[in-house]
Amino acid sequence: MRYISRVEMYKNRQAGRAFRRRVRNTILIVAAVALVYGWWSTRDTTPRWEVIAKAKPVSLVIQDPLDRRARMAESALWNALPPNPFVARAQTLLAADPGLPHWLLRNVLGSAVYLTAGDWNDPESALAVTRMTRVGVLAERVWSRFGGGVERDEAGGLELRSVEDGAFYYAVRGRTLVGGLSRQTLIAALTLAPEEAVSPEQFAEALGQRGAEDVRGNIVLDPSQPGAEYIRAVAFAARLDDQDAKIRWRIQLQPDVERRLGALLQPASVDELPRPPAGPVRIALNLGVPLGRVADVLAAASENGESVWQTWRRAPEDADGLVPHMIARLVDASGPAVALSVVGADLDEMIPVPLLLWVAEGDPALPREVGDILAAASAGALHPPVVDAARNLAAYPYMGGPSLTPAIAAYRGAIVASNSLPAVENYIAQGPAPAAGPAMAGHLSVEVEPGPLADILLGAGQLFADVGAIRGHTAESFAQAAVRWRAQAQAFGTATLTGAVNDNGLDLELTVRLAGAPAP
Amino acid sequence: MRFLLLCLGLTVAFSGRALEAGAAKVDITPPLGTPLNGYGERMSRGATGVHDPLSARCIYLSDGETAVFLVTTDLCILNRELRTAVLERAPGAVPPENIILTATHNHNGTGGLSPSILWRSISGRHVPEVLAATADKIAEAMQLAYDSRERATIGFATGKHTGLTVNRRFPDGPIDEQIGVLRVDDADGVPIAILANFAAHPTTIFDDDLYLVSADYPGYFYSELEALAGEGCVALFTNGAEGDQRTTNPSDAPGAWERTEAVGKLLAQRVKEIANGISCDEMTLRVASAQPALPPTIVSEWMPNDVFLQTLEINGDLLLTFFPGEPCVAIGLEMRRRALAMGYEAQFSVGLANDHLLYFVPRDYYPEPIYETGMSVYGPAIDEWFYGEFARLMSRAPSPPEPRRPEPPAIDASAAVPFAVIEGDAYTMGYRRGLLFKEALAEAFVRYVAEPMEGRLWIPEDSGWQSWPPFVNVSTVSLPMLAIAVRPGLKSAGDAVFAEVEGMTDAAAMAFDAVWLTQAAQSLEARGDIGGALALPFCTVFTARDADDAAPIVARTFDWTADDAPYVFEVRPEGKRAFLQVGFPWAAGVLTGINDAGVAVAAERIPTLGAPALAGPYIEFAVRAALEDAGNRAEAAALLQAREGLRGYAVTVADPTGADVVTFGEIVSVRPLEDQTLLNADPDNASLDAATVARYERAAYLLDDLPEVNAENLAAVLSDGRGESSERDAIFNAHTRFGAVLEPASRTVRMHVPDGQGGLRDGGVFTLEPGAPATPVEPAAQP
Repeated sequence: MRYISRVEMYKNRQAGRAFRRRVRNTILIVAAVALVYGWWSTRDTTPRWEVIAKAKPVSLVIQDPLDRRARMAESALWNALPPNPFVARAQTLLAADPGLPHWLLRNVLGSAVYLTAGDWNDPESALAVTRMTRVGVLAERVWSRFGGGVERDEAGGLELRSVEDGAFYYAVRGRTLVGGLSRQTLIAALTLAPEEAVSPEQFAEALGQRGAEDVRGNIVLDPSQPGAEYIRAVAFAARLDDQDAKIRWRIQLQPDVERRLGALLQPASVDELPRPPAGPVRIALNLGVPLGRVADVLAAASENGESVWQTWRRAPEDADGLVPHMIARLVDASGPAVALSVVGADLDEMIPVPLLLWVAEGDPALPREVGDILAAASAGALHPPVVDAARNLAAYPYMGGPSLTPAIAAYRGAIVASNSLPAVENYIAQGPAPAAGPAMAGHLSVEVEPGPLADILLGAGQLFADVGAIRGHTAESFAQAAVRWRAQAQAFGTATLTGAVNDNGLDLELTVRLAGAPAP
Repeated sequence: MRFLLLCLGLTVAFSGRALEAGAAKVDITPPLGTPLNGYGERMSRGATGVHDPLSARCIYLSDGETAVFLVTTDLCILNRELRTAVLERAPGAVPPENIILTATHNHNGTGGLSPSILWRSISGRHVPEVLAATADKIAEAMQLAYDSRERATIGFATGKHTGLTVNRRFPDGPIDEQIGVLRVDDADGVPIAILANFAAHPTTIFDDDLYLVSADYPGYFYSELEALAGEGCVALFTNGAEGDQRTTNPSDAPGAWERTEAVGKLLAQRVKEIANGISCDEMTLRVASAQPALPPTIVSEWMPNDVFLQTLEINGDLLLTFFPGEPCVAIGLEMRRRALAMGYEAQFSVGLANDHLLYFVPRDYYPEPIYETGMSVYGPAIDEWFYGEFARLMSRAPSPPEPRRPEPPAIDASAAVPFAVIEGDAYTMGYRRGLLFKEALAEAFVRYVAEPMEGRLWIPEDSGWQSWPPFVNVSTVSLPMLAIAVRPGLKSAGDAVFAEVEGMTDAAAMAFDAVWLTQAAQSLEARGDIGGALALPFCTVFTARDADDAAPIVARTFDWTADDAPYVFEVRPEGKRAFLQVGFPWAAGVLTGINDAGVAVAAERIPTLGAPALAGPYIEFAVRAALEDAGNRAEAAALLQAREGLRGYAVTVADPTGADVVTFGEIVSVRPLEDQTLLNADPDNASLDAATVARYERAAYLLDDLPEVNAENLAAVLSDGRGESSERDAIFNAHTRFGAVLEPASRTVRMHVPDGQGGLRDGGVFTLEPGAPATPVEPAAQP
């Protein structure tokens, strides 16, 4: 048995206290060092714009990707789209469980993801750039070191990381995470010369949220891409909600096109477009200049258009050129505001035809003038033209039956024209029946009701399928597929495209709305 | 008492068989604006006026057991949709299978009755309400005829017309001079109805009257005959086998309507003369009908695969056969000949009955590039098909003979290249090929014809067909158009080939046009130079011998993209020379062969020399004819040279004494074997492509170095290549399907097939027994 004196006991207590103090101090020092290291090592040393080349023709910004992801995944629009691999893939990606806690993902992805690509059609040219939080940076370090599946790729000191045997490459610079499918693209971004990178101002401009869009981007068209001869660049913004989707484009035309179309690109304020007749497809146009002037400019801007248009304008010597001449006269006599609708279809005609109805401000003398021309050019014809002075109507039995009998009439200060004589007669007899809903603003609107339009197209398609003229289908298989296609089309209420000309080019907005969706 | 019972029984029996008849006519003139059926130039525009009304006319006949509605309509055709609509509305007094609906084929009658988009350019836009109204009125005519029924007697006779019709296609072609007449009297001997059967197109109205409604000459016939026969008599007109028959201008009338009127009136007057000679009596009726499957057609998507057929027999002595379309006159005449041979007193062929399956042409019309053939889609044996099917419905017809069902030949597969003997008459040989290679034939049609057409590979880039959007299957129309375009190739191929292809068709149960298109596929593809499966741009053919007096040996590779395996056939056609054919299972034509006189032929496509004509002659059948007929190479060369229109080929022709190359370019030239080697293509020819030049320069080099000319050494030259290379400048390449060494002296073919290691291996040795000595053969006359 050992005796311990009070002094010894005191000394022992003092020693224990000192030890604990030392441990605590050590921990505090280590924590402080770790904190300082963590703070120091996760500082934002490399701004994102330094790895983004300004020459990249494609750029996209996705704001708050995690918050938007859930809303986009739940949109009923996905179910209305026809099944195809792309739609299925997109829906799966949006709905997939990322396997990481939401808070962690938020720290890695940051508040916005910037996507850039050298070629719209080449996924390997794409890069994603995000700004992680400090927690995100630390989490990436832990995951890359201990999570497995990530390999270090020195790349000459660039310190790349490769995920799943090269399926994805990324690198971290400060709090900037940059990654893509191609190692070379990533290396090029990390070794970008400062003068080749976007400026901080350009980057800030690109990143700023402008509205409620889910994604926003810019595409500068490569000369080899379709449409590049007309369009220089397109900026766009899109949003997907439960019952509708909206996408806006701002289109910058090529300088040459701007020069050729200059007369049509003078911004003119148009409060209200004309309301087209009710039908599955409705178009309204008002560029503030008479339609003949529009046609002149467009004809001059296109190859061979000028000579064709002038030929159409000349009074024909025989019946062959009558229909083009009627069209030319109609265009020339129409004012700036024009409405054109597909009001139905005649599937029993010699060939299935849509019934087009044109209503425009215009010269009421046109039907009489056209009637004179028709009478002169088709003298002695077995099917003479219809010239009805009482109704101020002229029609030409071009071929087939009534739905292939182009007609022009003047009615209440407007010119009414159609490929179908009965369509014009009905309009005159019953008066205008414009589509419901408010008139559109801007210079152009195109409204489509996919359900009724599908009825027309599938009805015509069935006629061809009945004689084996639809590839990959018999009459029976087409009929079965048509049931499915019709149901898909009927899921949509409307698709509306509006357009306006402004100083910077063309603004277009497409809204797709599901059937039954509340009006905006 | 017994006598009374007998009288009562007889009375009851006879009253049960008493003939009843009624007749009626109803105006079926459509409203103005309705499209008219018959001419595409109307562009479906509607009628602007009525020259004379259209009518539906009906006789109701019943012998107490059998009741019949026989309806004639002033319509261009009686389409299936109209028949269905009429049957839905028809009185129930007559069972549907005893309702006979016919059209007179006027080309100024109601259109818009067909919903099919393919026919609207001719029959006009579809007008459902006019279809319904027309069916209503036809049913009304049937009801009125039934309601007016009374005790009646019936009689028939035939007579002749002179100068009312001509063959519209061939000035010296056959015409049908018969006018058939059926007369129905009431109990007092007053005519209730007179029906005429006469064969000619009612197509007499043109130009300014194109849009006027008219019954054409049958309209004048009705009014004239009814005026002659007296009030209460309904005149009916049935058209006969009018496919290639039209009317004349019998009175040299100056105007169209005068001519139409003259034909109608003269016909009516003649009919009345014939009818006056008929003594009517109570007679029995017999209607027979069937719905047989039609022969396969290449347009199965838009033409039916079965059809409703009817016959009507009156007293067992008069036979009426109802054709669901437009038979040419030769078919009607042959039908009559057969009926009379069976003991019928008279026979009427009635066209345009119950349906419209377009035209029916006799077999010998099939290769002719004429409208009627172009509108005939059920193959060249449709005439025999009708004779057979109608015979099944005729009470006097003997049991039909058993169809020919030759047995398939045995295949000897002991060598790498299978071997079979094909012998018999041409049809039998084809049938045996078809039996053996049914699947290969069907697959070849799909791979080498249908798919290139559907993929528009065979459609020129500047063709309007290419402007249709990709989802439109233009081949639904372009394929039958191509089939029609190549039918004339049957003429140059010869009747034996025609019969052989028919045999293949029957055995394989395919459409004739499909089989013939497959046989012509190589030539069709060569025309387009599309580099497809059957293009032959890089075969190599050469001849060699050791000394000037030694027998030559011909060797060739056969290259194309298609991966079919070769066969060797010993072909023994009746009355022709036997030959060995080196070819593929689905092909009746020959590109490599040797006959029993030791004449060897090997053909090669040389695209730079030009392209073969669409309608033939085709190289395969020119070579085959040379093998079948030639006793030496001079005869073979002469036979080949006589084939005008062949372009784009070089053909080596050899026999034990020498060899020639016949080249079909802008001119036909012949190069003989002068030294020890003869190349099928001369590498010094500047027009050849570089790959061909390279191959033949290589062949020349190798042949110069040969220590000895024999089959083994030549086979080694054929094996010279670049392994699995697909380079076209190699003699053996990835597309080489076989090599063949032909020895005219021994009539032997030594086959070699790819060994999978970049060369050729032995495929078998095939020798033909010697045939009869050579006899001079005249070159085949050109059609």
